[in-house]
Parts: sequence; C-alpha cells; structure tokens
Amino acid sequence: MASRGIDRRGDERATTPMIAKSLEAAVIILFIGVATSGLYAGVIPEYRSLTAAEVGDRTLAAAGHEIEAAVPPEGGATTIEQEAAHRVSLPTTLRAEPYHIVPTNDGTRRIELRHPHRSIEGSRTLVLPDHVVAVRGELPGGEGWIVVRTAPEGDGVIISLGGDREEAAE
Amino acid sequence: MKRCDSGCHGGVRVVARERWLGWKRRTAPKSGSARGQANLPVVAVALIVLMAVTGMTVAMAEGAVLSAERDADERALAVATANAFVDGDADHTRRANVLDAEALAEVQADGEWPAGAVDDDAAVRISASERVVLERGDPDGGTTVRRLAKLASDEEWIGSVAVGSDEELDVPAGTTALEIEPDGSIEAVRVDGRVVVDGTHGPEGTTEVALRPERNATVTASGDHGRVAVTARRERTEPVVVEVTLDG
Repeated sequence: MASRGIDRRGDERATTPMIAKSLEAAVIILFIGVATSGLYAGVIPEYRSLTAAEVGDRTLAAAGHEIEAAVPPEGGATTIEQEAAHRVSLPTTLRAEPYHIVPTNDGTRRIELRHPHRSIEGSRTLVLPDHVVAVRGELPGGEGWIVVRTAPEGDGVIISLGGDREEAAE
Repeated sequence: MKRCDSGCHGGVRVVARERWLGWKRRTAPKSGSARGQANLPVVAVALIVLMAVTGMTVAMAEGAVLSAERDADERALAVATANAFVDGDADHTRRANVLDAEALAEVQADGEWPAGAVDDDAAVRISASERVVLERGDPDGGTTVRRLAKLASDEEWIGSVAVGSDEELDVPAGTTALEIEPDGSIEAVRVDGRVVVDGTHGPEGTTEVALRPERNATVTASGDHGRVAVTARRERTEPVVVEVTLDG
C-alpha cells in the first residue's frame, strides 16, 4: 500500500473517488433527463393522441350503435304517444378531457365527435329508418341518455340525447 | 472492514476491476487517470443497454398501437348496414333475421337500397350466400361484416277432404295459411271445429285462413256431397350468410 514518504500524493488521490462518483451521477442524471424529455416531448404525446383518436373513433361507433338500437320498430296504424329512455355508458374522458357527441343538423344523419384537442375528431353516418324524424341534443362522455319519443305530429319518432334523463326528455 | 489508507477504496477496487478487465496490474499505479475513472466505461455500457431497452420498448408499443388500429368508422357503418338489412322492419324481411326469398329477388332486380342505409360516398356490396344482392361502387378490400340469417320461401301442399263424411284432413305442421276451395253442396267447412266457410248461403269462392304455425290443424267438411280442396302454405327456410362489405 502507500508508503509513508508520499503522503501528499495520497491526499490528492482521496478526491478521485468523489470525482468519479459525481461524474457517474452527473452522466446518469443527464441521461435520465434527456431520455425523459425526449419521451415526453415526442413519443408520449404522439401515442396519447393516437390512442385517444382510436378510442374516440370507437366511442363514436358505439354511440352510433346505441342510437340505432334505440329506435323502436315502426308502429302500425295507431300511434300512442310514448317515451322510452335508454341509458348509455361511454368513456368519461378522451385524452383526459371531456367531449361531446353531437348530431349534425344539416339534413344528413350524422353524429360528430367534438373534443378540445385537434387530433380527436370524427363523424359517422347513422343508419336510421325513415320514421325517425329528428335527432337532437348532445351526448356527453360518461353516462348519457337516449330518449325516444313519438313526434308531436304523430308520425315518426324523435331521438333526444342528453347527459341525464330530464335533460334528454326536454 | 480492513484498515487501509485513503487510496484504499479507489486503489483496491479499481485494481481488482482492472485485473478483471484483463489489464496488467503493473500498469495500474503508473497511469493514475485510467485508474481513477474506470467506472465510466461501465456506466456508458449500462446506459447503452438502457437506451437499447427503451428503444425496444417504444418499438413494441408502436407495434401494439398499429396492430390495435382499425377503421372503426368503416366498420361501424358496415355493422349498421348489416343490422338494417336483416331488421324485421325492412321491406324484404318477414321478421328479424328472416329474409323473404321473393322480396329479396325483387330487391336484387330493382337495385333499390333500403331507406337511409348507407353513406353515399362509400362503396358497398351486400350479398346473401355469395350471391350479390346490392352493389354500389366497387368495394375493394374494406370491412366485411357477416350475419347469419334465414331465407324463407313458401311451400305449397295440396289436399282434399270429402264432404259429408267423417273424414278429417290433417294439414302439415308449420302451416301458416290455408286456402279452402269448396266444390259441391256444402253446409260448413271447419278448421279445428271453427266454421271458416258457411255454405248455406250459396257457394263461395276461395277462402283464406291464417293459422298459427305451431298448431296442427284439421279440416272437416259437412254437407251433402262434394269435395273441398285445401292448399296449405308453409314456410321453408334455409340458412343464409348475409355479407356486407364496405369500403369507404
């Protein structure tokens, strides 16, 4: 081991392990920093949007199927004023933000997904029989209601969407 | 722990590692710099391994995301179209999931789409048992949705019963309608004891009687003489696979 004549050198050597450890620590902290910021800056938001867009598409499809399934068969000669409510359950949020499913009222029977983030959007045609007069209201994420009522004119049904039953029934 | 000098930590451990790395022990004390930071190459190797693992994980995640992706919109439309096609409300169905063979042939001939069925800019093909019923555009690939349904056609069975005898005519099981055509001097024709033709007010033409398919009815005729011709209609069904291919 170290001889007594070169004590001074031994003192200098004592700093070596400290420097070595700090260097290692610095390198690793730098690596973690670079890796984390790299992932969070590029890969993770991209995947979040990608996944949310896919879930959004499926949510829209599911909402459409729920609306299509809620339509009762066409009545016979007599029409009784009636109302039927169906509860639907959709994902509460997409990309951690609330969203709405809204029917477009431009003559075509479509529903649209509205979300604050631009990567999540979509619309889909509803396959509805002719006796559906109108689709109204909006379906929020989470629990929603689809209320089917006979139209005031007596021929056909109106589909109303809403966050709760009273809202949809209005 | 063994007592040692200040250089012990760096010295002993580094020497040991240098020996492990195959370095000559003699060189160690000479080059102080090589000895001091010998941990760094190991750290670098560890980081490279870590980076490789991270890269592989990201690649795997990418693969998982890509393989989970499908055209949800197209599929939803195809499912909805298939549902509408086999719905009991449609013109060419007798009830839900039972297609009427005659009406289906008409639909095929007219090429008239069920109301509000499909998006105009999507190419769609609906086929039943690989026979194309309706087609618009030329769907290439796209999404295919299959539904198992039944194709119903009517089958006729003809029988007759003599008037004024105790003869009873059993109509075949599953009969949904009877057509009764009396000939001769008839008082009454009964189906399961219920009078369906009253012959006391002169001869009548053909009488149609609807029956429940689960009932096994018997036809009897009373009167002087003659015969009653009975035509029974029953439904014959065969399974059919409805395929909706949508490419939009």
